[in-house]
Amino acid sequence: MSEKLKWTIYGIIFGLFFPIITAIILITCKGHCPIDIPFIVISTAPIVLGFTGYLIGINREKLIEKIKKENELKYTEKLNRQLDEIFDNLHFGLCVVNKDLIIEPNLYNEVFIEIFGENDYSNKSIFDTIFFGITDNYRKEIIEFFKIVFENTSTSEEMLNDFSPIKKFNYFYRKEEGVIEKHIATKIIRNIDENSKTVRNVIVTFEDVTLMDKIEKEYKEKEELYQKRYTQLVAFLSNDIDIVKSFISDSNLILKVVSEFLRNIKQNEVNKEILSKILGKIHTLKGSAFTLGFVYIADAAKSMEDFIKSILEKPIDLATMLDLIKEFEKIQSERKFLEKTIESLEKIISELPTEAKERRAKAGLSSFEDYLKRIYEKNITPQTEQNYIELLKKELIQISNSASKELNKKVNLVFEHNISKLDENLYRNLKQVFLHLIRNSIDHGIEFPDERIKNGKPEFGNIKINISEYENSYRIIYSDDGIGLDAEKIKAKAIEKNIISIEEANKMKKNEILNLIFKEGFSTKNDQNMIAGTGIGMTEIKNVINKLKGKLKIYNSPKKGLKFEIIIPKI
Amino acid sequence: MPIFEWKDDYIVNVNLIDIQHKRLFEILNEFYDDIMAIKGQEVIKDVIKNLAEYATIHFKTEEDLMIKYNYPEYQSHKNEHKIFVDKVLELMKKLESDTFIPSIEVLNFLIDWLKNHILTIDKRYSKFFNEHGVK
Repeated sequence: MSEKLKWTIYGIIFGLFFPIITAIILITCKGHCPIDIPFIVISTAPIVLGFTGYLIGINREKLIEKIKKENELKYTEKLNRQLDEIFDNLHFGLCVVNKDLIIEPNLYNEVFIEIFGENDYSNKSIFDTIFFGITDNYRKEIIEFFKIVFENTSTSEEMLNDFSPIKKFNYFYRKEEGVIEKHIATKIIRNIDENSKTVRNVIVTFEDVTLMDKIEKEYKEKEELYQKRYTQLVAFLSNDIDIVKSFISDSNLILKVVSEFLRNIKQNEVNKEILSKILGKIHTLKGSAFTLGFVYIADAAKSMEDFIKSILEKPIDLATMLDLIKEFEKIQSERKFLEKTIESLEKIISELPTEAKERRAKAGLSSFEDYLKRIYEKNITPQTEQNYIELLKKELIQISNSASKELNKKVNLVFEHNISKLDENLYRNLKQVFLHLIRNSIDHGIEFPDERIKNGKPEFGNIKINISEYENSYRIIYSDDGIGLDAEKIKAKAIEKNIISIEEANKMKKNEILNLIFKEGFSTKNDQNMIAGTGIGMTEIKNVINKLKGKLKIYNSPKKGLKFEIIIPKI
Repeated sequence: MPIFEWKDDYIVNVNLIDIQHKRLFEILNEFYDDIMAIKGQEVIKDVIKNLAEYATIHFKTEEDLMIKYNYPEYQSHKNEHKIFVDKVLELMKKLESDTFIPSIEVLNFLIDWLKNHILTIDKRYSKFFNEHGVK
């Protein structure tokens, strides 16, 4: 009931008392009234008082309205103050932008100012402030994004934030102490009008994640470093120390040779010959690093190998040369890292036992010492003159084991010789030859165990190496019992790779065709892996044997195996 | 001919500083030659160390002159120096922990910095010093 009506009724009821009381007095006094009230007052009292009540009602209404308004105002003020407080105490920056990507007046907080470094953002476009100086493409992307934000109200905010081009961006600004770079993460929240279902404006939150990013990056780098050290330590501890040592010095030699080649590259010319030589060396390095489990060196070598292949036929300009050097430096750095890791490990191993002994004297027995001792005894052999033929044998068995494991094949390697002493130079060269031969045998020659059984062969493939020393020469027989070579396939591949023409191919004898596998760029398998299959290995074998002034012959028995005979004169 | 050629644009007209700037160019040219001779990784630590030492001397020369003649932008200039020194220290730290940094990337950073520093920031004091009779 309204105040007006209420008070009018009160007035009328009160007014009605006058005629009623008058009537009662008249009845009790039997018409003899002691008070003389004019009739007009009595009869109009309900109307006059009703009207008065009505006026009071209007006033009351006004008063109540006023109090209500005052209360409301107080409440809004309080709410605003609270909101302001929340606004400014948020740990992230915040601003409200309209459809034209203009920041609404005063709708940004203290943290926002702190992050972006200026004082007044009211009515300014985000492209004149937060995104000042960005590329045209990025600008377009942001405009497109906000168009969707404002127009596609059905798309969820979660999804929008996922695809936002400003999800994370870098903000630069110049301060007294120089240019400052900040990493900012943002999120958008839409302010949707419930009635019209349109977006009134968008709240964008900004979080300064520079420090977080930095910490995360540092942590990641550290973790990678530890991972690397760990991988190399594992590789180191699971190999024979002599083999690892020989790899360290071999790889050093290879890199020295390669850097000499690199110095000889002529700029703005095609350098196919030198690059092919480098390719051969890096390929060898990749293989032996991989065999020993030094994957970081193997990966770096693979990357350089791929890069060289892509520039083999092209003139080398300065930028390409610098990229090539970068690839090489990566391998250098990985090798150096390995060398350092091993040096420090050796230092620990050689120093700790004494210390551990002292500790044991103090605190009783320690199993740690025994453990270290075991590693120590396993890895440190007395430094006598290196027996290269025995080292070669160990290394080749290792190469065979790791390649067959990698390719899921089963292989036995038998190494026989009648040599009393092998000199270091020949050892290095033979190792290169065998490295490629063994990997090719296992990858291309020897079949998978089930296939072998089906073909009536023993489950384990056999590789035999026999080195005999004569008065003036060495004779090496290398054989495997794999599938041998397929002359027709070789012919087809050589034609496909433009190594020979069809006419030439038809004139060739069988043995000449087999020798095509030594040509540069030849490979019969399409997929490249870490083991073999690039066609570089066979060329490298030919190069090494030529360097030693040796001769090489192939004996092929299709489906039964392959045999190489190598004669190397003593110098 | 050196790869990073010294140009007249780089002259700030203060004799001692010009000589030092030229020396900084020389250091970078030598580094470039080393990289092309495939010695980048061998010399990178020494180059950065030498450069840091020489830059410190050079910065001190500049800052001393600025103090002496009450150069108004002294503070911001000094800050630029600090940023560079911090960056070099960070590089050294990385190299010490055996992180791989391609030498060409270091060279690019140094050459960009040097050109930018001389052409924009050092050029600003050129007129000031000349007006105060410093040559």
